Amino acid sequence: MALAADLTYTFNRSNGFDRELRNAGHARSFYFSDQSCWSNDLKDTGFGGDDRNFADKVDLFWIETHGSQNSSGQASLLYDTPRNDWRGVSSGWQLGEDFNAEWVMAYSCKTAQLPGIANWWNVFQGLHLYCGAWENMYDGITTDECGEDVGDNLTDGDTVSESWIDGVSDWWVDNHPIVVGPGTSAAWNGGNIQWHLTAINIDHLWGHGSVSSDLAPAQQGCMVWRWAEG
Amino acid sequence: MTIPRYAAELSERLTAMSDKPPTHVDVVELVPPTRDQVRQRVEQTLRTTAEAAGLDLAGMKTAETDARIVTRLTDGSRAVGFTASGAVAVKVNMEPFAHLFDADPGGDRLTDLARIAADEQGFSTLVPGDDELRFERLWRVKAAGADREGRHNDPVLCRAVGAFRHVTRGLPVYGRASATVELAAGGRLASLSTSLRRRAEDGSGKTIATVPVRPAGDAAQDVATRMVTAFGNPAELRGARVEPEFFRFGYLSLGRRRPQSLLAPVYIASLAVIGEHETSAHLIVASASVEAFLRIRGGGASTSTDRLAAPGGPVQQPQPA
Repeated sequence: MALAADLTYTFNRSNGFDRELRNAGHARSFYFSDQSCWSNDLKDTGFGGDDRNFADKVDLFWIETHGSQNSSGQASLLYDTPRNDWRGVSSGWQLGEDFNAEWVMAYSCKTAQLPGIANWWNVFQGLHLYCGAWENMYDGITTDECGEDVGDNLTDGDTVSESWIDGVSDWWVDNHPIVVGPGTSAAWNGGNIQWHLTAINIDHLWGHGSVSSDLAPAQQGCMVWRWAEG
Repeated sequence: MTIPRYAAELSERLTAMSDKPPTHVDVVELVPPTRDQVRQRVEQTLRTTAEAAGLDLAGMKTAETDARIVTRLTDGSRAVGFTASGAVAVKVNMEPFAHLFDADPGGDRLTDLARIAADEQGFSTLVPGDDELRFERLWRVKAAGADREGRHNDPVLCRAVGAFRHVTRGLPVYGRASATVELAAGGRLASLSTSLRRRAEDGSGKTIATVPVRPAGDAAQDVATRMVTAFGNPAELRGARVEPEFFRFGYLSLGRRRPQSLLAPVYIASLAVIGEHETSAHLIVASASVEAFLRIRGGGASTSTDRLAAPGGPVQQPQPA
């Protein structure tokens, strides 16, 4: 294994996110860290993973680790244990299905790089949005409150997409947030995208505004994404 | 202690890219705002924003927690004040894809729009007369899509965010942007924020000490040593490399939820760690004075329990369906 540097403020962000949502009355289903966080938590049960009991059992799944995108355009997340695999690759993710997942948030570098995310059809089996990064995301004293900011934005009533992009941006360091999700053929509209029909425009955290319907793969006609660049 | 070669090289590269610091710098006293002052800031910011954005303030309601004061308007817009720092943010209720730009008018025009909006909001009057609130950087929020055949649409420009930097005693106060304006098409205000440690006439600004500045090389070595620790003290980087991106000198403002009683000089390093597969990016702060006046908090701790040691043993791994 090549070396990876420890992140310093991971738990400031993840604890802050967790705390703000629970303060607003939302329930935490599970919280795992370090060697207790496993790649099978996101990997589809049909592929030998256990998403049915973890990522796909909850409305919102938050993760922080080192990330990348492989040559096939798939996200790769590095874990702190080889219990399942050192790396979890999005080719093994199928979220939504008959289960529960609406939103995944990954504070990790480069998991959703352009234009590879246009090929993420397998991931969205009912999942509404993946919130990640199209380039680097910084660990530092100016991004230690990003978790609280995302959590507060969500419970204050912002859309999920705005909550992520604004919440993880201090508008100084070079963070690169992106939100991606599927839309219908009607939303694609021959390339003249009807943005108001997409989950990026519609979705709020449950209890804080509207939420779009789950889209089964057969209902998905396009993939749309929104990002910040500076 | 002998530091590994990669750390010595990192230290040298950071030193070479350092801003040229002054020989001495003031440590500046801050006056943290009272809760009443934060309430007033929220109300004042909201009134100014309402005028520019056409918001109706009738029926607004305020709720308070220890950390935040949140005032909501009946249309869903809101203003938030952070009690620890006095930072304020206003968000106009606007769908993410409402008021899209017809086309990207270009960076110069967007910057002009951001400056105009900042002037309308009276940004320059927020800081003491000797200070500045300088335009720092332009951000764009865009959207795009593709169909199943791989046909892509042209990206659309949703918002432009102008970020401004507070400068006091000739030095930037780094941290999150000191102020922002977020604009939709036509320069329509979508949100704004201020995160200023010194405000005009807040009584701050007393010089606590004037201290000699540490050489950049000493601070760079601190940064390199911290990276060695983050890697787990290896002698070699085994396929990874560290790319320094900047090494800046200035003051530092902590987060919006943190009180702060002084501004002290720091060096700030931005680094990317590029591994065989993964990348990580780090912002590391080192004191620029021998006596470290500003306490930089370390990382938090996990509240996770050991999954394998949980009551009942390891979590069951269900068989594939």
